Amino acid sequence: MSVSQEKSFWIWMASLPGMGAKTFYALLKEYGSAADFFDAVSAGNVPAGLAPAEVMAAASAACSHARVTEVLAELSAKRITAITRLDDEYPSRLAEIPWPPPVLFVKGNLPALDRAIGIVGTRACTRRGFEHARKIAAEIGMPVVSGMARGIDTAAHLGAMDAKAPTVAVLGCGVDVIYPPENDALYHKIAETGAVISELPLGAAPAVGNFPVRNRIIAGLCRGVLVVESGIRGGTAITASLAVSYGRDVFAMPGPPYMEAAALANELIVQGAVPVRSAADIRAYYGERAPQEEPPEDEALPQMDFFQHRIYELLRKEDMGIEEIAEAVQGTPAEVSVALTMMELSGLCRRLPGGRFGI
Amino acid sequence: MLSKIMSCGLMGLSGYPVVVEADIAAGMPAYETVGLPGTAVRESKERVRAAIKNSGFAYPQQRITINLAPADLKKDGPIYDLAIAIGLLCASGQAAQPDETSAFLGELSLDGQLRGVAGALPMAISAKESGIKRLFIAAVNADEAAYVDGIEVYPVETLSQLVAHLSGEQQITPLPTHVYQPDEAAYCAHDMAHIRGQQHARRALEIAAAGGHNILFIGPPGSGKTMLARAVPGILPELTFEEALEITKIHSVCGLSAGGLITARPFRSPHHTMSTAALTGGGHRVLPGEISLAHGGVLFLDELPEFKRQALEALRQPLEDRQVSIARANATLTYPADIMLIAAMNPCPCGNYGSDKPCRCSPREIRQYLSRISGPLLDRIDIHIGMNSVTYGELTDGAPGESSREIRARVNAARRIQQKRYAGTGIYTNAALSAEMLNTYCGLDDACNALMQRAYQTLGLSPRGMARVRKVARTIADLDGEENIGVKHLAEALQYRTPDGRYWG
Repeated sequence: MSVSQEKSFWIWMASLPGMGAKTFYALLKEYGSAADFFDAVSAGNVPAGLAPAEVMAAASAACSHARVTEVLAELSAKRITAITRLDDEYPSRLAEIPWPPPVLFVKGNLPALDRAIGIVGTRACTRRGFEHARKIAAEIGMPVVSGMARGIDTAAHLGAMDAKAPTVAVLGCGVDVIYPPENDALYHKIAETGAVISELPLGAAPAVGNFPVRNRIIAGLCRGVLVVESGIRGGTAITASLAVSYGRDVFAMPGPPYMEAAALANELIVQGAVPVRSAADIRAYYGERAPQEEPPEDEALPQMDFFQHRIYELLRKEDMGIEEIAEAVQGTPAEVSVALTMMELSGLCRRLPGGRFGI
Repeated sequence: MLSKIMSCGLMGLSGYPVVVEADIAAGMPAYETVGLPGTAVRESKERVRAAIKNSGFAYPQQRITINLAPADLKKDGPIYDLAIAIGLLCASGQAAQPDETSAFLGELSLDGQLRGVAGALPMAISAKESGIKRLFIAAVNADEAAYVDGIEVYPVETLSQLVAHLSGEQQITPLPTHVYQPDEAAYCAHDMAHIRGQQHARRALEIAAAGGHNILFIGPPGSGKTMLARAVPGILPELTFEEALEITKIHSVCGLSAGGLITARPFRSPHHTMSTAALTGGGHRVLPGEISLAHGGVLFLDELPEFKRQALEALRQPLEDRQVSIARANATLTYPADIMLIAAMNPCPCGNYGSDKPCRCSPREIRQYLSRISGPLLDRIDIHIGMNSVTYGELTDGAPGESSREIRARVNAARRIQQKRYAGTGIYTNAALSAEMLNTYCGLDDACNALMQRAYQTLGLSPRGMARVRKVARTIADLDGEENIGVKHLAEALQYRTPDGRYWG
């Protein structure tokens, strides 16, 4: 039997709804190959107990050569490639983890991932956290892997794309399902410059249980994982502890101890994670030189009068509302409004939701 | 015997004369009311009988016919009790027949006491116009009616007291004609001085009051939106007598005038569960709705996106026309609705989007929430302002703000400038400027034009948004007492634009 034929049976097996990696390998061990499992199912002699009943029901329902062809045809129609563990392209680092995904469905082109860094964090991040994560991802000069969720994940992908670096999104649903829906544009951009991948069959819904399983792929693909903002529990914590158990480097961006969003990173640092302030810290850890010197801090600013300059200095420190600014600079709200409009038009500040301003 | 007594009916905000004819004829005891009486008028039979008996008079045990002329208009309410009772007493020779320049209004209780009715003021006005010289009305309504010049208002307590007056035994003294005086105390009830901090919102409200602009507050719960809105009637110009009369008429028709003239601008804050008819007016008797009850004052809609979409859309026309027309099977009526709309809403369903607290809403939920308010309605709101929650310290420690009286003085000055500028054009405030008038009255010099162009390009303003900014800039310049709009006026006005272009263009 040729390898490519065995590969199509692998893809068929991985496309069965409810088929997890553990079940997959248990069946493979029992029957020796996916093709033999296929034959056994079509002969109808698979003893109960080897796999969950619903997987076996799905297998017997889909047990035809026509179905195998159909699965492969759907992949090529949707321009999705499947990489199995039998293939040479299979990421070598991912193969080291327990129960690696038997098949990876890939939309786009999987870049070389030996230097990859995972950047993960909470969906409900702060604006500063979002922007810092984006900056690190842009300056790191390594492929960035994340989960395309809201918040930090989105920032990580955006940052990598800012620097035109390849980025990989690992989904907790079928690779042809866009979740969350507002990341539609992001999904297509990632697929263009990097890859969107998933081990789940096409069309799989974003079920809650999929995400912790997805996190093991993020940790498995990367040589190190950076935790940006996150509460003490949640998906980010799972990814970090998986990274530790796989022997990956764990980086954490510290924050003040009273800040809930910094709780996980601070906890990880106490346990021995590498504290990281910027992309340069991670590069230094790996002994890599900066690809390019940092741009000088003092960029030429558009002209501001004294009053505007004072407001600018305030906004550099934190986001503020008109009220607070007026109090700090001892001006009337009307004067501050005028100054803020002028600054906004010159691109020196931005209006944020909730009547606040930031730079 | 036959007797004719003058009375009044009510249709919308105006009254019309009604002649109550009472006939007593020989025959089996019977009682018939004709002239399209409503249920309350039909039932007056029982009240009148008991009131006559309990006031010590004899109820005629004969065939009684009551006719309400004009016979083709539907009569409603217990207004005619008094006129019917007097008519029966005259027809049976127990009371002196009053002349045709005396009118009688009021509901009778079974013991002969007189109760108040709704719509006393508009009926008094129409009575005067139709030639009535003396109005006999319940004492509780008398104060309100006494503001009408040229008619003698007699406060009546009981039926027997009135009969004694008519026969000349004991005179009732008519009330002196009341003279209108703006009520400073009512204005001070919600003084701006009690609101600490919130300088930005206060400034926005001052501009809104000066230019008659509608305003939208967007902020989390507890940012003081309601408190600020409550204080707005106090910084609007004092009511003139004509305005006070008109406002009282509306409230009187709904039975909401607590005696006397309404001297402070109304503040109405209907709950978001209210029906469209309750907001714009309607119902079986086609009464004014909240938007008319707020005429001359403030209509405050808290939790704007929670209102029924249909109700919000029904607001659009009245906001434009400053009046509301209600067409029903039995009547088409027009009520005034010149209001300042103050709307308040959360930035997202949980209320915390953009604040210090974490927001639990997905972008889709936020979009859905905000899209409940239609673009055309937003176009009628010139000033949008984002607010932040106030900490306890700011509420208690902040210096007391300027008083409403001081702010009102500036608002009055700006309004005078506008009245002078728009004399003869049919509008009174900057908010009412139409697109064509914008170029005439809100001309921009080169520097301003350059600023507008930059704003158009960098801030993503829509053409309608630009028009709103120009109107608001005109008001800011008027508050400054300046003839032309300057760059600083425009720049400030730009801060009152729609806060989140991502969701609202």
